[in-house]
Amino acid sequence: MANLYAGRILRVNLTDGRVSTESTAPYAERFIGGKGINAKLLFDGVEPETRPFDPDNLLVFGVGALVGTPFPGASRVDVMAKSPVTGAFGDSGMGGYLGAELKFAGYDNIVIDGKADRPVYLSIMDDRVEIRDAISMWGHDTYETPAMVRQELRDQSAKVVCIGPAGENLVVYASILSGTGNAAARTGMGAVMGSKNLKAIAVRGTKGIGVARPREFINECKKLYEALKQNRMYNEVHKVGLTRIHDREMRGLYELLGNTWKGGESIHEVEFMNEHLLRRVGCFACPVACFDAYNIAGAGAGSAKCSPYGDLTWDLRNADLMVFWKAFVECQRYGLDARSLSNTLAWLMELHEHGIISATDTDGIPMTWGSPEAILDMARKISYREGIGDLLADGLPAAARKIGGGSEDRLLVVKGSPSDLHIVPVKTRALANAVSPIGEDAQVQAFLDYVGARRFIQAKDEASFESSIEHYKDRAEREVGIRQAADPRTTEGKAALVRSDEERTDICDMTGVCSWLTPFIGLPVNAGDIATALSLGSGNTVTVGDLSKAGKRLRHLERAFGTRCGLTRADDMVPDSFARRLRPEEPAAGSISKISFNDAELETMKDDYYRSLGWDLLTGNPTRETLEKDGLSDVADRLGL
Amino acid sequence: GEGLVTCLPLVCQQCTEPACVKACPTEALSRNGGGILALEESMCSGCGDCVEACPAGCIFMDEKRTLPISCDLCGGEPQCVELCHSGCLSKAGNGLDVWQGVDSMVSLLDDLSLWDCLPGKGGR
Repeated sequence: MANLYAGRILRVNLTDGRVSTESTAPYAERFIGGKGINAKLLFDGVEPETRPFDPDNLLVFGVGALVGTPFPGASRVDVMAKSPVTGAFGDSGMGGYLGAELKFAGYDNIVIDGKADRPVYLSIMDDRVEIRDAISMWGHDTYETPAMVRQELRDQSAKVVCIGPAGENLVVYASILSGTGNAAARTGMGAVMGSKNLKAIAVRGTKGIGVARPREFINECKKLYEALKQNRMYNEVHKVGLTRIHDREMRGLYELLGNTWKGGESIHEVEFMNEHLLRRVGCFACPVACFDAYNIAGAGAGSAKCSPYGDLTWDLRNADLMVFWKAFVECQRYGLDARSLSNTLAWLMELHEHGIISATDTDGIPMTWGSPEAILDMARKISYREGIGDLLADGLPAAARKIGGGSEDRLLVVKGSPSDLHIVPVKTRALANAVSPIGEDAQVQAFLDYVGARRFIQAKDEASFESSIEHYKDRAEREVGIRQAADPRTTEGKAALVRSDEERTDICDMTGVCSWLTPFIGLPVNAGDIATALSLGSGNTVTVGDLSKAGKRLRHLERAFGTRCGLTRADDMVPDSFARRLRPEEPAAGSISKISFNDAELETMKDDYYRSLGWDLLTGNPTRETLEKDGLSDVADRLGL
Repeated sequence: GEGLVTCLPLVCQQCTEPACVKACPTEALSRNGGGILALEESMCSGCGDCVEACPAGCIFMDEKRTLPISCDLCGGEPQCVELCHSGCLSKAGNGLDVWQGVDSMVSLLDDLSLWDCLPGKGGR
């Protein structure tokens, strides 16, 4: 394995302290790298009866194949395990500098098995791998811990990722944080890490990465850097991060949902950023630097981008961005997923609004929409399992069962994982959420039927609506070969749109290239560029077709893991609360319902989706025929097909 | 501070009176006709005195070849400046007879408390 890959998978058993390595080579051809190899390792290594906090659960880190090279945006690491949120597949990605350092240290993936008998951290310094005592660090937050680890190792350049009190206390929404504000935050990977008594991982690598055709590889990277510099969207994101795009998106989403809260008009992310920005922060090899770093007296320091700005304002009817920043810093410090905090608070506020809970249920603090008292300090309470926090720490479905009184009907949860309040119930979102192994996946957000739905509510009449989506239909024809995919009123082409997004994110997740460099937000790095770089880097020819096939194998593996956990087609669903939110102030049976979905339409789209992947329509599971055709006979064997 | 990370590119300042050249016992390091740092590999003994001498750690040892990685400004068009996307690097002179740019690097390292991070200066 001379080129592009580090060549080794590191295996660490925290129960008996054994450390070993195996070659990456047998995995690379079929699964490329990163999330692809992780999925195979997890599928092969975890039994159906293993529960998320059992020592036998595997916590797997996978570095994308292009990471460590100057390919723009190739920085990402995938983290995977059986999840305490879904009870099945768990997965979350993070950027920053860990990935490159791991490659330089000589590892493509880390598989962590077992459970240490006391708090430990993993130190990886090239070939020297040690399980070290972390008793003095246990209890410290994610800002303090990396400094303590670097001090002890006497290496200020070590890259450290760690859990905070939330992970230590097995809070299901716990995250894993890096020193640059990157978080593997969804599906409870931090809790799995805590269940193994693993506080942190520190990495220092001094080896290089071999590249088969270095001069051509560098030229390819330079071409992409040039293309990025010329790109209008790049220049915007580089100056104002994602604040302007996200500002517009939140307004558009709430306009479609039917926004009766006027407070949103005063939320201006760009203004907040311009007033308080310390500097831009980016990841390894990334010219975009989309993170906004702040150091605000009395509120806290750190870096953020995108979702949290809206999750902790719009979704909670809180117009004060400083409240967002304080709550966000709490989440970072305690190692708690900020989106899940938002989802939790929004649910509690809805319950309070409808009299299902009162202040006595929430430690004397009324969960009024937009209330700073309700928002601030909740992250700490959940992370330390204090008061109402203890009820919420095991996840919203468990909390709903305890609260009762109709609270379960108001859950916005898919496969156990909470969805954002601003998720729009258009057809592609319904399908994408229903079939995703992790519930809502922000990477799969088809644009065309969403924009079609927006045009629908803005249009004066049928004729002007039709003409307003003409060029979106042209685009749908180019992208998925189905014009009607852009018409929000029909199920036609919706599965194809979802598959297209899934394919894009799968290629990114296997190669470690960040989605923010791709047409996902209008930047030019595409699958062709990635295939070219993989070819020049590895010395073998890799085509876009190869990447698509590998992406399909990844989907089969995720689905197969779920199958072994007992999931079937029946679990591919969204709750009633998902569909009922579209423009509640307008007549329910009116034309608005056309741009949303009903149960029959969802089932039709699921049929289309399963068909495109070669899955059985009855069970929703991959067939032996499909698995063999796609080079996964061993997976078919393990499934007992 | 906590929650924030600092990065600094350790770029050679092309001093008019370089400490590395002064420290080199074999005269392998010199300033060429154009005033740019130059390394004559055949004369380098791999002693590492240049790395010790630079006040701001802007010259490194290539452990594999036992030669310093010295900056030759890429023959005139420094690639680091071209690729930098935050605009913090530029080809500059301050018009002084003696450019000891390394002094500004030292102040930055002081201000940002980064001494512990320098390879070849006790940090790792």
